[in-house]
Amino acid sequence: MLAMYTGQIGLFSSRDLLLFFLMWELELIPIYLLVCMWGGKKRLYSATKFILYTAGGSVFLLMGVMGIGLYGSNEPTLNFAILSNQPYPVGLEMILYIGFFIAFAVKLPIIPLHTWLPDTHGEAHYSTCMLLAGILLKMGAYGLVRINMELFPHAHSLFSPWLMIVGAIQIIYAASTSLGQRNLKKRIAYSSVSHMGFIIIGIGSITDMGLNGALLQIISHGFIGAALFFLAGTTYDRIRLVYLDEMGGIAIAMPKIFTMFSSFSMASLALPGMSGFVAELIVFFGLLTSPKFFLITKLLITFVMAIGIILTPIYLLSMLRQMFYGYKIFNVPTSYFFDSGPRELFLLISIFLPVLGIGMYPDFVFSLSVEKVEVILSNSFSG
Amino acid sequence: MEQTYQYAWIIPFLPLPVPMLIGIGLLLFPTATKDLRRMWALTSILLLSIVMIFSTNLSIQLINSSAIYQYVWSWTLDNDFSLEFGCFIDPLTSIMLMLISTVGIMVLIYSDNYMAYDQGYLRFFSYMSFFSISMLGLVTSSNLIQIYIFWELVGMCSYLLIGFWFTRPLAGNACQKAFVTNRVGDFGLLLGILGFYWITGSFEFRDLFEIFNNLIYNNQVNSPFVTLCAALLFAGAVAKSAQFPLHVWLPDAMEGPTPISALIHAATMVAAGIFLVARILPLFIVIPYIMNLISLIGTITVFLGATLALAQKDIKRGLAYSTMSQLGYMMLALGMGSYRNALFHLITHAYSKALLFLGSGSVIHSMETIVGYSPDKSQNMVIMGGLTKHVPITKISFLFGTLSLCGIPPLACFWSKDQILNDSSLYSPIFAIIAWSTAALTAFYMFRIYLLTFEGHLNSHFQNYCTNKNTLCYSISLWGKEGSSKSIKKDFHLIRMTNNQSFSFFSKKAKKAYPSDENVRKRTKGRPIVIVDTNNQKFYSYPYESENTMVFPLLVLVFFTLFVGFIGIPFNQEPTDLDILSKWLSPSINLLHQKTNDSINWYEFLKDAIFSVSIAYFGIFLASFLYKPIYSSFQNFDLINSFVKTGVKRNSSDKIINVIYDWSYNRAYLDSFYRASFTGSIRALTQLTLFFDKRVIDGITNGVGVISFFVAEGIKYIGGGRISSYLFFYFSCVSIFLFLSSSLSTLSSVFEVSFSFLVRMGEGILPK
Repeated sequence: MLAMYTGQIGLFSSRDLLLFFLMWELELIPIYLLVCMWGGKKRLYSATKFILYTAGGSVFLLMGVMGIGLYGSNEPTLNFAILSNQPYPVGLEMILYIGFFIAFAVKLPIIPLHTWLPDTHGEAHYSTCMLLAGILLKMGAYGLVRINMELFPHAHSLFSPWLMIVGAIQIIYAASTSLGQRNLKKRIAYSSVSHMGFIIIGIGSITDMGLNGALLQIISHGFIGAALFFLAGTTYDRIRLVYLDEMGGIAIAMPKIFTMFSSFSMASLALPGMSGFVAELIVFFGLLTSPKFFLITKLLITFVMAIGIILTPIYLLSMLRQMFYGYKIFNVPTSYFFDSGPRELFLLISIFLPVLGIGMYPDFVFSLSVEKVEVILSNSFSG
Repeated sequence: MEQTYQYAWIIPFLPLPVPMLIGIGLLLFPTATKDLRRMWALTSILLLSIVMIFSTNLSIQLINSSAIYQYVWSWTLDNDFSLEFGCFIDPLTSIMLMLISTVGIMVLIYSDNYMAYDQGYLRFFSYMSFFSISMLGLVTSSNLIQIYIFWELVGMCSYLLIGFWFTRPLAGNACQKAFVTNRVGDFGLLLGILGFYWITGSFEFRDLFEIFNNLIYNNQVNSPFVTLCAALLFAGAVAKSAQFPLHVWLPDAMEGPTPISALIHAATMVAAGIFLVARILPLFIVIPYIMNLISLIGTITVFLGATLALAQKDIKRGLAYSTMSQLGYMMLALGMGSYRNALFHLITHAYSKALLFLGSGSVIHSMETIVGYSPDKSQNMVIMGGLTKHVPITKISFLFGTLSLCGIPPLACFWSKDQILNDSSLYSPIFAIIAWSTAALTAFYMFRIYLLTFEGHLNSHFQNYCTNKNTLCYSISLWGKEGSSKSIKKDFHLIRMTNNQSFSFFSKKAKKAYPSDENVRKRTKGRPIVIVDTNNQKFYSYPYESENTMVFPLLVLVFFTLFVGFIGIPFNQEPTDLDILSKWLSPSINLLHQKTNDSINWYEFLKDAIFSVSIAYFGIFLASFLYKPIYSSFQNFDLINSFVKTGVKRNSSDKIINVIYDWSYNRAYLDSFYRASFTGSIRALTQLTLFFDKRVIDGITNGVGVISFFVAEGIKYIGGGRISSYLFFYFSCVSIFLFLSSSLSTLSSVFEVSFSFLVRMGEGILPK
């Protein structure tokens, strides 16, 4: 796990493309091991799937890195600062963009490449899930902003409509798939896929606010998704059931988990006052104010996103209802039923506070991100 | 008094400490917090009464000075996007503030007793306080985004409170339904807000109106788009105040505790939609068609709600449908542009309906001693009846509420409803006819509820108790001691009851199985009703009158119901300004550039009043005719029966009544329609995407895996390490290669020959 942290921190702080790539690969291994060792029944299948997917994505990443590094100059340069000022011919830029995009799309996940995520999440131990949802998914988004937007502004502006369309489809698609899942963790996993759609749209709408919203969504989903997986894991520890239609009526036995679960579900369905709401709202504004697109496209995409807003509570609340509401007698002896201890409670509250804080006063994040966003965007408009 | 305005922003946040502290306390020190529960209740009541005093002060100042005050501060620092939060005090706000705080205090006091034996007492109070926070925030908010935020919060509170008794599966379904339906409305609201932001670039109400009027004036707007946006905004209001297409959640929302139904689903939250429409009425007025849409929706809701209320068995559901119908009246008034009347009706209706709901809660509470802690039984009006003797105070207050809602003169709703009806007759004859006839229906169903509940005899003693046992299964025995004791008590009753019944069966001659009036028969599903002498009743335990803390709010609300109407009565003695309400609302009315028709002379007023009252009496008469307590006048009954029997059209009338009952009992088939269409389609979509995900997308990857697996197996088989196979492979390859090359060479030679032949032929053919 520590190795994974190393990889992730290294990734986010790397200023160099080669280092970026190395770290990218490095953190695959611990996750593979984590899933492999502490997983469910089908853990080998999902771990293999995970590593094949991500390694397949990494091939494209490597190709992109090589392409950038070897292009143009005499000796290979891989420094971000230099590279971001370098112009490319359009064809090459497009090809490189696509290469990077596929790599990040696997990680983010974007729609046709997402199937590793529910499997991995469904099988992995919950702490692994928290890391996966909280951090690993964000690497894709980070890379998308950092490399695709910074290095290839021109190609990005060409591709952004497609990004938005994919994002909109993804929101609806993943939400409705989530509704059909019977496995609790898979349902949450699909909900996080659905939330990634907002990030994609935010990145795709090349505006200040859209990008801000995407960053905010990255952060807020990092908290909320991790907390939801944690809660699912703790619930699973107690009742030993994964399928939703077998559960029910556990609210009486564990009111604290019930409270936290419902509050995080509320946060996840973008209740105002929580961070998810601010992020989605700002993405909406970014979309509306973006000068690039036609009115009809914008309206259509907004409409589709708003349908996603209707679908989200349906699956989350029916999950809650199936898990907690109602009354059911279990075969499991009641001695297993104890409410969450102080350790878990502390963890949840410490996740909940930033969610609430960002929701109440998003300037905490904005004050950090605004300048960088403006720099990126000015680059992208000039380029 | 600038100072009061300065601190106006504090209003929504005053009750905030209570839910926060309760939440923290419950999570960290559960036992200590539970021990102090009465204190928490006291604190929340106290804070809410501070709010009430404050808002009263505000509104008095508004009456005197009639200014609109606004105070904003910025929320985000982003340079090109700044959201400002603020509070916006105008007459509308102050009215709503008064309403929310007074009804809220009453309901809190009431629920202190109502929920006293519930395990979730503290949870209940924290939810309630949180609800009042978000509601107060909603009415004081100064821009659309803020409205949206509090709108959602209110929806969440309603979700939590409907699902308060979460052990009941019905409650779980109901709260999810309510939230999702509201979310559909929110979807419209959000899109509408975004659309208007896109048009005008502002969320601020006053800026919005100003910019929009300018745009209209300059004819710069795309009118279908604007209409669409306005309709979407209106959709939010439709969902929240349970108007026609999205009303399905309101009756189900009655699964929550009764104080919740009184506060949220009758008085305040459902009024939020009306509030929103009233707030952005200046916007709607300038847009074509939208006012027609509003009044149309209002009319449909008025009629639908009233017809659906006709045959509900559950007392709370009946009241819920009547709420829906009354909200339709308000919407209708707004659609006609009579801002003042809509608000007037909003106030009067809120007090009367809160009174009715609290009364019904008291009735339910007292019925619970008899039929046990199961909502199917204790809210069933069929079982009730004859409660007059046992709960006199509740009965009187309920009667007041009923009369007020029917529109009988000295009570509150008469004044407002009369004015709305008046306006509708000026506006459009069709709407007027519907509205008038619905007034009669209102009187009818309200008195049906009243008569069934309070008149006659306690029907519960005559019911066949064997059916009750299965409902007992999920009566709340999980709550520990009191639940079980109650059920035990109930069982005890049951035993006594059966004894008694058999006793009466054998000894008395008063037993009469009556194939009574068809309505009654339908309600009891053809069960023969055993009529026992009144003397027998002393064996049964009676429902008791509620305690003082429950009765006190009822009485206060009766007081309100009696006198609230007077603030809107036009006093002709003053030539200039008429009534307090108009004076109160005058700035907003001026904002609308509207002239209210002030000079109603007494003659017209009397004429209309007499007409409406007579209609109401007609409804009451009908109700008492049909739902007369069965035992009281046999002669009357025989008369009806003979009358019905001799009538030629008995069958047809029976059929008609049947149809009406089915229609109304099945909630106009709308629920099943929604279930079939929307839920079904969403399920189908889900299945489709799931299938797609599993088979296609996952199938591709798995297919790639499987193919690569087979390829690898093949290669492994080939590369198995056997020399002979290598040699075989090598030689076969060589031989194939040789064969191919030789055949290729022959082929090529053949081609060459034929080609040269062709060339030669061509040379021969072509002219030189």
